[in-house]
Amino acid sequence: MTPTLGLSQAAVEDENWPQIKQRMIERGLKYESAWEFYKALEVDSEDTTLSPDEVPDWSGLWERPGGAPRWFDSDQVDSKTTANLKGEYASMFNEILVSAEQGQVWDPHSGCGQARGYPGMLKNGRPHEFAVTPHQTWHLGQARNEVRRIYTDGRGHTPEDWAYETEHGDSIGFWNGQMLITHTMYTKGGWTGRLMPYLSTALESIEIWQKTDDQTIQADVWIYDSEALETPWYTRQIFKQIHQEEGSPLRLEYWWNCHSQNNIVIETEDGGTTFLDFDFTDMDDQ
Amino acid sequence: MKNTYLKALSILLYTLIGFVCISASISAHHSAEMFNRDEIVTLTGTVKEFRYINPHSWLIVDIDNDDGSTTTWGFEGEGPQDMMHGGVRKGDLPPGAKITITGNPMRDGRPAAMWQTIIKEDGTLLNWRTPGRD
Repeated sequence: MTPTLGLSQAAVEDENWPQIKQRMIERGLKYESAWEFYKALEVDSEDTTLSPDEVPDWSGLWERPGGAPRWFDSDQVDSKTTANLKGEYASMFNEILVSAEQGQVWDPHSGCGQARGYPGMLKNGRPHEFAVTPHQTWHLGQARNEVRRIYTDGRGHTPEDWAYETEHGDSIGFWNGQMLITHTMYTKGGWTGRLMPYLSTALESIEIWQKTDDQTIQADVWIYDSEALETPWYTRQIFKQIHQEEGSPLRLEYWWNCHSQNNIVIETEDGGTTFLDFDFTDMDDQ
Repeated sequence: MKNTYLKALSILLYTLIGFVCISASISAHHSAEMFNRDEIVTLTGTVKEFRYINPHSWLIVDIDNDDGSTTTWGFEGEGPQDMMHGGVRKGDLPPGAKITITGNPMRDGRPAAMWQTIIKEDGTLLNWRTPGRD
């Protein structure tokens, strides 16, 4: 008998969500930067470290709930982002929408399966895993082979003289009880997903991660970006545990890259998407 | 005659299911704009190969044309994780299996489509598009 796997559930299920979200937005507005927000939360925390017997159980496979498309912000409706974009980033987003209305959609990360990076990886639709230890938490994503490390051993960020921008940036954090609080910077910004905004390298974020019930891990995320955003962009990122019956074949697998192509997707001259030539008769098509 | 009628009815039903699924589906790894999601083709043929891999599975099917020639079509599905969600195993579609498959054809006329549903020769429906998934 084929083991069955559970279906996704609704994104944010709290009936008071609109009020909660508004409070969260206002909370972010109190601070000039994510770092200021982070330091305020750190002051409020009694014990910022975990002992091995305090490590929360975030084991298992997790996925973004809800149907397609999975927006970065679950409250996004159609192509109307909830990010308050400004300047060239607002213009870039508008260009994406105009092209889409004309039937031209190109995902810049389609070609080689490269990591979407942070923060886009949060919304990836394939399974996620969390490896929690007292000193580091790893967030792994199957789609695009994402690996993000959050250091909770008390270290600070990479010193500015040594820092450089990477796909997932530099994340540090601390624990407040069973809540993981993070600060991230030195990302490449970039694309958050199809019909979603681009962000800049000025991006910094604060996240509050917690397991709210046996089936749910959530992260409240505030993104500050002085180049791309007029105001902090608050979203709640929900991950639901994938139900696996005994014997389930599902694992977090290495995903794909250019060395194991099975469909080469290219950008068309007018900014759309299509397949490279194929006739399904030889290995070149793979 | 009755079997033929029932099979035709099944194909119509599953085609309609396919249309319902299409309205909510967007391919996860790349835009699906190369497929015409307002159109659906229903073809009967023989499985040549089932590439059960990330990021997208491909079902390669030989379709017999009315003039006696054969065209090899490719049907793009999602990766194994989504196939598992829908209960579709690699062994369900071995080479040589006779199937009727529905999909959204390429806009440019090349012989490929976005895979929607399959009916095997014994009438079994394979639909990896479980509700709410892309």
